[in-house]
Amino acid sequence: MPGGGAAEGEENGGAEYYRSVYELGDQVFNITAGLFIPLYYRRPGDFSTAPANLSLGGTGSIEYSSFINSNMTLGLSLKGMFAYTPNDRLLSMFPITGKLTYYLTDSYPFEFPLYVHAGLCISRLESETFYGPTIMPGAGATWNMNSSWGFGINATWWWVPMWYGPSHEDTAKSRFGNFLDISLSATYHF
Amino acid sequence: MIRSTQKHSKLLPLLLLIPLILSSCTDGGAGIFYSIEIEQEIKNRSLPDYLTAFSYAKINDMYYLAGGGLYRWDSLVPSQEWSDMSLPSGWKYTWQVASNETNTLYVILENSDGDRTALYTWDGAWSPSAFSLPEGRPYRLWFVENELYVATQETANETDKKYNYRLYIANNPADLSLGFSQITVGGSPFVSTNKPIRDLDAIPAGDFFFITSAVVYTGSGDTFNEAVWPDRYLRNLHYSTTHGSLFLSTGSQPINGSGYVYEWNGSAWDGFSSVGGDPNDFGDIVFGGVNYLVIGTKSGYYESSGGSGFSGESATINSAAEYDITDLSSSVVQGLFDGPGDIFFAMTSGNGLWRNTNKTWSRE
Repeated sequence: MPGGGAAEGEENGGAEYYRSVYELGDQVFNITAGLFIPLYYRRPGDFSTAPANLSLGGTGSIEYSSFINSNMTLGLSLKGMFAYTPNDRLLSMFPITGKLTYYLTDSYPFEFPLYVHAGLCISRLESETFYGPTIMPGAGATWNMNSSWGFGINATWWWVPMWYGPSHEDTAKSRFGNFLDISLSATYHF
Repeated sequence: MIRSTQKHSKLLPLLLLIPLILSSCTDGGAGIFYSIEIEQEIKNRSLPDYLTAFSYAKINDMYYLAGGGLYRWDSLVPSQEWSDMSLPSGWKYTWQVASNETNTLYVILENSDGDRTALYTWDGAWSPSAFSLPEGRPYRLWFVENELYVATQETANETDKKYNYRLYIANNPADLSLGFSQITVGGSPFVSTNKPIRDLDAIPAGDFFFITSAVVYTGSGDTFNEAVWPDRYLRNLHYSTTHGSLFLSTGSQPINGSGYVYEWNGSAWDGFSSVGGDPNDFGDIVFGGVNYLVIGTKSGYYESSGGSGFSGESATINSAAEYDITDLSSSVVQGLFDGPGDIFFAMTSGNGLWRNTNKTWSRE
């Protein structure tokens, strides 16, 4: 349970102040599912863009995090997505990331998490696998049904660079992938 | 607690950077996003996916493929599909075609029971040839240097399953009603027992060569003699425009398990290069402004250019969902032939006709 439960006022010498909703050590388990929307590739050489050339896909994640102060959590996230190429080749990506979230909780029971993922992204296309970094900023809106359960909607931008160094034979194939996922989430606080 | 929280906050950027730094050090794949960016939808071009093709011919811009049915494709309209040609009444299959490259297609037709074959020509209409054999039936044909050769098979001994093979030359390829002459070797009508005539080719303005599985013969017209040969298990002959030489392939050798290719030096066969597995037919293709000699094998194909030996080439269809076989190296490649521009084709045994367009493979 979040420390102190819902926001509540306390009398203290006539001055009212709000205890924070969350406290250090509160834990959050989050599960999401939604749509994966391919956007574009950016070429690092001339920064031109090209269509992602993928179908609308699906995405999902499981995340665990813990509050490090009254407004921020730090946790781990395992995401996954799939989408298809024009010839029905399956692209799948599995980001394994650290996730830092800042909660705007002024409108409790509504709250607005702002977050960023950073970590490893494992990308697979048929027999090819690429291990690379990823950074994924995002924002959401959550309605807390009670002190334990909340439900929300989230938008996350996937930035997945597949970059080969300038001396690499495949340097001309470097592309920065840009995608968007729109997901629904269920959050459990404990 | 406040102090503790501030301490944690300072560590956050570092914690987030660790997996980023670690993952940045890894590399792999071959441009997955790039591969997706340039991918174009591949359409199956109407040929059966299980097609087995051994033989093709070209007349002007029209390509003809014998693979049970007879198919043609107009290369002036690359997006057009292959069309199925009607065969003459009473005939169901064809496995062999050749052409004079200007107006006449030569075709061996087979009946539905597979016990009769006949040679026909097609120049807009079907015409049966006047090719009346004393015995046997045609099974291979070659149009080389303006000469038409036909190999026949006949049963020599039904009980012992012995077959005789003979070779004939058209007296006038433009008018098959003038008949054929049987090839002689050493002055006698040539008959090969249980060793099929496998291939025939010629050096431009030079000698003709044909092979059985064991012997090389050379000559011209209807007169041939035994030549030297480098090995056993002879497979195919091919005059390569890429190298300006005649090449001979031999089958998988027990000693090392790979096939071998020899080059004719005018009087003997010089070793040229090994190829993996049993080699099949050769072809010359032009791709990206470079000439290649290619050879199909039981596991994909090999290519050679600039006088160097053969190297195995990978060939993967960029679609896993539509095809059972997506990797040409897992298929028997009977032969390859050049198409217009940067297109070439690979004929497989039971896995269709494959097209390479700008290094992208698809199945017709």
